[in-house]
Amino acid sequence: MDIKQETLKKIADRDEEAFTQLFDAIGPTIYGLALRITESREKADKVVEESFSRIWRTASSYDPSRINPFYWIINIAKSAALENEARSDQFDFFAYQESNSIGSNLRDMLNSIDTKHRKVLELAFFRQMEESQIEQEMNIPVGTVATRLRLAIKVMRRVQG
Amino acid sequence: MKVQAFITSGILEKYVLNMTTEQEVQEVLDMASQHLEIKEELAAIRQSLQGYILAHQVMPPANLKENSLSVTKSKRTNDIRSEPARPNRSYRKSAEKKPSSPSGTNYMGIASALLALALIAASFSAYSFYKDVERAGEEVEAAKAETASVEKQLASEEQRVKDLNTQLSFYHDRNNQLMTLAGSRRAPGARATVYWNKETTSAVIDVVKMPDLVSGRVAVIWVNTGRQTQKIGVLKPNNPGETTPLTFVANPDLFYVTEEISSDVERPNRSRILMTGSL
Repeated sequence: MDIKQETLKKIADRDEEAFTQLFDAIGPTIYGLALRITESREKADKVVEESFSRIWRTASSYDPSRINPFYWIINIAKSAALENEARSDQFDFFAYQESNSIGSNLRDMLNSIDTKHRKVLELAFFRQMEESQIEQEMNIPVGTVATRLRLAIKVMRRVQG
Repeated sequence: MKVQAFITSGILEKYVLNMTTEQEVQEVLDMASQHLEIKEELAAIRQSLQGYILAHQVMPPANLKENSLSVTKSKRTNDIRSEPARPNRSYRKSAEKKPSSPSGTNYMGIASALLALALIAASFSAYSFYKDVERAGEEVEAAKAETASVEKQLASEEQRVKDLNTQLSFYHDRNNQLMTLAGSRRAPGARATVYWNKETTSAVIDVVKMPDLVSGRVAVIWVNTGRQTQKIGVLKPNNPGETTPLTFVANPDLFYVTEEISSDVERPNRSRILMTGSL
């Protein structure tokens, strides 16, 4: 996905059309991320609204020399989602994603990662855990955490070509 | 060889996932500036992670787009709301009504009765005039004392208003960026607002609701700037109208408050995050 710096510049200049285009481009990504972190449809809705509100309010402070636009937006969404973290065993993200699919072939990539490697990546990315916390959560040596992360990403790189 | 070992150590994946210590961050930055392979490896890892994020896409419900984009209309909505209310037609009609004059009243009779009453009242007034003057003197003294007390109170209120105005001018500074720190699962309901001003390089925090802390623990405020984490203050309950200054940090990404055993800790205990927020 290629979010252009110009898009954020236009949003900073209060261009509503650019803002709408941004939602179309990255809305499903933010919604998926929000659902995965909050595990609640209600909270995920709130996170998406809050994220776009923050993007609209702070686009003028975006600094392209520090971070690319995609990760700038993802950081905003992640922080909004972590503030609304709910966690519920009732919610099955992948089942929900299946029924509200946007047909991304990237989903198959997830299945190609070994379950235990994928779990480490999930804890690191979606729950923002540190190595020592993952070590405790999964009961594995701290060195194994880094190895599993590396292997998970290596598989993704191979699958993505 | 050293470069290859660095790449396979897993440190670059940890760096992209924000799991590195400050020392490791520096190490990665140094290596990346010296070796193109490391720079390229970082770009490839970021690309993979982007694929990982995109693999979790879900189609948002239709109304969510509308709600999310409505933020652009909020200014207009406020403008409409701030329009003065139109006068109420029925009220205007009744207010414009002229009072009707009483009819059939004997004006001469009323005037005579009033004159008689005035004469009686004047004689009583003359009798009590001296007493009244005496009492008035005492009342003037009491009023003087009361005025002095009110003036003192007024001066103190004026000072308070002046202080509030100074504070308000800070709050209303157009260069301020406002950020709400909201309570995490550990501290639901906790809330604070950070006023962050790039122009004056100042930052303060206004605590609306302190998080509940384990006895003896302190709430420390941290900020992430790129790959760095920095302690910028300790959260204290403030009185209404008061704020607590924070260390100003340029380009903050994420603010968060953690519960710590002491305010001297050097790294945040991320398993005890109480509040988070970003500009």
